[in-house]
Amino acid sequence: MDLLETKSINAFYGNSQVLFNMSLNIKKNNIIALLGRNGAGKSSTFKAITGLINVKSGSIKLKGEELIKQPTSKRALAGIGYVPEDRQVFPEHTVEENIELGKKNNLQGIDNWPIDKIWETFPILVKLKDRLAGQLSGGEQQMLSIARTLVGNPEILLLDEPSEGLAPIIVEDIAKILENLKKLGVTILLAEQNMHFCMEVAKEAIIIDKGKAVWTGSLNDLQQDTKTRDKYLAI
Amino acid sequence: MEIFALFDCIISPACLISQTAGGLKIGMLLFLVASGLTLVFGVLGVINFAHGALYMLGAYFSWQVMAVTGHFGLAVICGAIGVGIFGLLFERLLINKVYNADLLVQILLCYSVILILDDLVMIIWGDEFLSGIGVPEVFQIPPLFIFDAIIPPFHIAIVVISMIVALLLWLIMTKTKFGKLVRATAVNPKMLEALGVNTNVIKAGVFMLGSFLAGLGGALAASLGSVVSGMGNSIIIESFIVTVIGGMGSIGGAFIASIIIGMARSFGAVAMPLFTDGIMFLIMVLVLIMKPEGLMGKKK
Ligand SMILES: Nc1ncnc2c1ncn2[C@@H]1O[C@H](COP(=O)(O)OP(=O)(O)OP(=O)(O)O)[C@@H](O)[C@H]1O
Ligand SMILES: [Mg+2]
Repeated sequence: MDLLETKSINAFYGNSQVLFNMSLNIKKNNIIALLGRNGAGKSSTFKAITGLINVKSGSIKLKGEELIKQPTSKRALAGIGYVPEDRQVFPEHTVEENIELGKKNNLQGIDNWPIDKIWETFPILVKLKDRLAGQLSGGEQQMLSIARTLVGNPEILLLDEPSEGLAPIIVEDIAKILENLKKLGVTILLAEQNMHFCMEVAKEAIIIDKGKAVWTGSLNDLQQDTKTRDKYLAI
Repeated sequence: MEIFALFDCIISPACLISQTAGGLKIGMLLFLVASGLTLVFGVLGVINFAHGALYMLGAYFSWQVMAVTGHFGLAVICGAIGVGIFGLLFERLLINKVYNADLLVQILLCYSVILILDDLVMIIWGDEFLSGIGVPEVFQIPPLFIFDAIIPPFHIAIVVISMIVALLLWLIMTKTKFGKLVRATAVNPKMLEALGVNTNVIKAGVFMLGSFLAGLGGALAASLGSVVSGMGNSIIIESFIVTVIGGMGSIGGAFIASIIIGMARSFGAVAMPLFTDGIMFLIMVLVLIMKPEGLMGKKK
């Protein structure tokens, strides 16, 4: 049994369908890249898994437990951790308060992410503790958003384009943090438009296009396979 | 317009002090009610037009407890808590159904609740004015004279109680986990849900707190005047004006606006006794022209 299994999800914005029989299988202790062009449906896939958009049919199982009928907050409690592409920190709460808002144990009542471990993993945030999140730079907000989800002890982290709009040095910092998380055994589904950033941290990839999973394999293979890359990915 | 009367009042310590004290009393009582209204709007996005009816319920509940127990403090506390519980039921059974509905539907729902409650209290308690719950015994003492201004000690008590409530409200909103959740719900409920928080519980809690504040205002009002069906209809308009002047959703703004309105009423009674209600609207219009989002509201 895989950690996260979605089967034939059909999801909609109002009346327009965005996901068509989307199926994914994610194994534990792994970073998997979710690749696809602008508008391919990466964010929508995450929103369907978290319950933020309307899923009409299909199945979403985390550790074998069906979540499709559960509201968003229950899915989060079950272990779905979501870091949205626009970060969505609470701008008028301090950094520390933002983290406090995400704080929860996992379903077994265990806390693998005590606050000290967060400060260790995200040293940048330590001196920003009392700063309002709205005043942070994009990179700092990205770190905060990841930290805020991690303190909730998720089983899987859905990380939506963490490198988007950030300076290369900051992207490096984020890559290092993801490496670190991988060593700590965190499972991450990492959405990105291009594979460069993913190459550093992930081995396997899933490509989605027009709301469907169209390709699964190793990133190394994908690098050789220019045809697939040209067909489905931004250059 | 008796502008000279106002001038005479301001240069006379007795008049100045007694009108200021009176303005504070009116303003702080208004704050109790308006803070609940603005809090509910800020977090839930609905203007609870039935907030005045909750204020009325607070007055009736406290009157009833007073009639049974004769204990002032108990009457006020039970009035406030009773309305808090009533508000919780109101939110769970009705209001939460219209969070995303048209404004017109929200108004219609609130208006029908006002009509029902206005009638219901008449059925239960009769349609006569009930004399209020009066001033507790400890305060049945001669008034204070400060520079010849006559100030009833109970009015000071009301201002102090309201100030304490304002302070507690501020502490709850800024220092407690509940307050932090409430502010986050107001800004981005979806994200909070994705972090595992059931925002329905937060919303219900906020509505309960807002109702509690309306009930507390009504219970204290019952000690200053009489209790009657429909008594919430003028306070809802004043609270709404306070909410608009202070900035929709801002408790700090409601505090400042309440004191402004209290002072305007108190000194307005000296300067323009026939136009005191008009002054409130005038202030609101001026604020809307100069700062449409309200004194402490957020720019859209
Ligand atoms: N709120 C919305 N309402 C209607 N359609 C939407 C909405 N959000 C996204 N879509 C549409 O759904 C499709 C998939 O969008 P989605 O945001 O999931 O893509 P993405 O792969 O995350 O793209 P990007 O790399 O630009 O973030 C697009 O066609 C988009 O126009
Ligand atoms: Mg996206």
